[in-house]
Amino acid sequence: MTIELSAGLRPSTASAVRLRLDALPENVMLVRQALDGAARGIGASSDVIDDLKLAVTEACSNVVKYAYRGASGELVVSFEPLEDGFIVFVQDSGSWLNRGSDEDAAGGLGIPLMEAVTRDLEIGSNGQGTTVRLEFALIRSDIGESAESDDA
Amino acid sequence: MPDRVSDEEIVDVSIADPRLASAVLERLVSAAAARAEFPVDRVVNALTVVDALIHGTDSVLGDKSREIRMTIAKGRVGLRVDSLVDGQAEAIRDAAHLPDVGDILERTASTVTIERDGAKSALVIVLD
Repeated sequence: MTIELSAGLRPSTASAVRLRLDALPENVMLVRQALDGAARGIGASSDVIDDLKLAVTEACSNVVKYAYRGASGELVVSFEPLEDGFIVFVQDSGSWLNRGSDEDAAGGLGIPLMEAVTRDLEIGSNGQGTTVRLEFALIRSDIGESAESDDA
Repeated sequence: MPDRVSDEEIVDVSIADPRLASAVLERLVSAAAARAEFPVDRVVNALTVVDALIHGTDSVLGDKSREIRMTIAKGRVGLRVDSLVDGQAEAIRDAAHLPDVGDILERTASTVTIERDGAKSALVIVLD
């Protein structure tokens, strides 16, 4: 996990799917639905889609709850396929990453949970906003490992 | 893009990979119809509109990006296909015509209009 906004922590200008919507609780469901469709469209397994929805809900919830501190603001979500997986970027124009002692934001369970279900997680923040980069494999690799250990 | 009506929610959707348009839009519009508190027959109509729109945009836009603004209010869902040029809005609308059935968009949506702004145009579909 990184804190500074690196060059790789930005979606490409032509993401396969991009949603731009208000950072409201009810819109998190729309993001989940859209990404479910996009991930299925490139052949992601059901387990991975479950992980995707869990992680994206966490990322979007941070934006909704903390990024704009009660003011209105925008949530931008981008989906980019890879050869063996896909990347989701969750962006805002606010700030929630460095809330330190706030148990529900950066210091809570959200980030460890996102780390646990992604192949790679990066989070960056600068003066213009915060970006969460979530990378997933198309098929969850621990399924095979689990089956092997069960056989042993 | 037009200004927001005060009671409506706006979702701007950009789909650069046309293979994903159907799966993404179906789910988004289903969720929007649920939030708009549509009865089941209007949900079916909304999904029929999506099918027709996907068919039309596939045949007219090919690999080009789809720029769609979805608006949601109680009892109303709008779909605005934006950034169209050179008769593309008319072509997408006309692609929804089936022999012996008629114009799918006209029959399932409440209104289907084409808005023009200089060289650009938009196909605007409202279900309410």
